[in-house]
Amino acid sequence: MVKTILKKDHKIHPEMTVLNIVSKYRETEAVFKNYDKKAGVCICCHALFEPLSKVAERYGLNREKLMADLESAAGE
Amino acid sequence: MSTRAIQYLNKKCINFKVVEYEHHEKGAEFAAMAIGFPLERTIKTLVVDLGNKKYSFALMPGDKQLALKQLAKVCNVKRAAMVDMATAERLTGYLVGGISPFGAKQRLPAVIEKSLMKYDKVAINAGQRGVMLIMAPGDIVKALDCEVAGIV
Repeated sequence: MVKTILKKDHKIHPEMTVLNIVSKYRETEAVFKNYDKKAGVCICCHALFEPLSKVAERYGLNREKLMADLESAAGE
Repeated sequence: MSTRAIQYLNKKCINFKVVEYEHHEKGAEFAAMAIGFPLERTIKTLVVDLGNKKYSFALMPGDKQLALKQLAKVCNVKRAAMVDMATAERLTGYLVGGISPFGAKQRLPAVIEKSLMKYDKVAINAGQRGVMLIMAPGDIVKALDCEVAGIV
């Protein structure tokens, strides 16, 4: 029997830059804004050209949670 | 050192000073730190999609976020959105991290954030990673014939 695995088509990937995420999914800007306090900086001001993985690492953010929140906003 | 942006400014007889630094990171924050210039006076050049294949530069203080709704209002369009990196490079002919509003491949209108006008000198990209220009904000307006407005 052949099993078909349906892989969820993710919109947000860790290597995407903040700029590419907000330009493609405008609703994600609000998500980044919500993370500004945790990051201690305005992410869209200071890390626009950084990939998501680097942003999470640099500002001590939970990458999986951030990605899930962005994914959810992008899907709206 | 000569870039398309420098050539553009020279043609217009605009005064500026070229400052070079070792480029390791994209963005105004690193550039400001590398040249020892205040971030709020270091301009980041953003490319914005105004719809109907119209685009504009938004010249912003390095520490501020562009208010797209404000920009849309200034440009008399319904909505404005940031363009992705590939589009910004295609329109300007510059690499992200080295985008300058001067001498861009496609001549785009520009809006400069009004708070920048209070400084005697600001830093702006020279069209190449690791090269900045120090110049008067009034000269930027003159060189680009750009609009001065509140877009933060």
